[in-house]
Amino acid sequence: MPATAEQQGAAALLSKMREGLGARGRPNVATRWYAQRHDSTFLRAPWCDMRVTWAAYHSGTYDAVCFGTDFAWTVAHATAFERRGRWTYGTDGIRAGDVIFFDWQGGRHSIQRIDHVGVVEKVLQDGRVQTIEGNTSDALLRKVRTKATITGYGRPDWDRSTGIVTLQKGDSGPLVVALQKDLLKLGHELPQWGADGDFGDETVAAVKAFQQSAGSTGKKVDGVVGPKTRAALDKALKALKQ
Amino acid sequence: MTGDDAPNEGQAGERPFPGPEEELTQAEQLRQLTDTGTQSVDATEPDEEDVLRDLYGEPDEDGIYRGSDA
Repeated sequence: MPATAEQQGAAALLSKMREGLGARGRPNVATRWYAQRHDSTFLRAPWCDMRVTWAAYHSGTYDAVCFGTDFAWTVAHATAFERRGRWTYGTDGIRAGDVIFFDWQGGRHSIQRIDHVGVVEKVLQDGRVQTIEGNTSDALLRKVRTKATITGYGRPDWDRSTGIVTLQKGDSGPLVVALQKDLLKLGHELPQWGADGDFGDETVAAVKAFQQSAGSTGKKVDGVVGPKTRAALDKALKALKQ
Repeated sequence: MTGDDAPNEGQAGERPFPGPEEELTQAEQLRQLTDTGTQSVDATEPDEEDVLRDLYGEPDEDGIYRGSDA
């Protein structure tokens, strides 16, 4: 069964949130990117929401998560979810990939009192959530959070994800599994590792073989799955069904 | 409102939203940014390390729970 837009979008967003886990201090990859787009003052500004915006932008989920606006201020971001009917106070129904907002004074029922933001990675059996957050102790960390400090969450509009995420050697996770399954369907071989979720040399070779079979030559046979290779894969899969 | 790493700068109060985000300039967002104190220390769950260890295994030498997917 093909992955849903939510599964794909959440996996892509979380994959980018994990990138550089443990990175500490500022400027950092998110504040540099944000400052380049707007103002150098952002280089050393509080960066929890800049990290979410950065991850969304680089995972093909920017329109789903940010609705076309760069957010550094959490209140503005939560308000954007609320205005689109995608906001929930508390944690009822929360899922991996949701954008979660905190109020250190006690999770009050007020978007205007929000202090901090992260992305839900896992919903724990005891009702707590495990998150990934930028600017927690000025670092990018996995955290465990309880309802006591959670104001609510925004559900990204996953149907607005472009789904165009460049995959290449070194990547791993559900998107790589999906790619490997597509390659296998199209008759390309992954004899040693199969669809294991790791984009290693074997997957590079299979992608190159596909690119050649799709008519690419020279430097275009690079083993990287960008928008053009993705489009060619989709076209080939569609033809396979007919 | 934007993190929890700096010295506490006081109680966070109501922060009126100035208008639709489409009209919110980056300068206005920047003006609203303040590190919101050390409350994260209080907010951290006492068993956080145990939970993360169960989920992702032992932390690396920097104390980061990377698991196999990070």
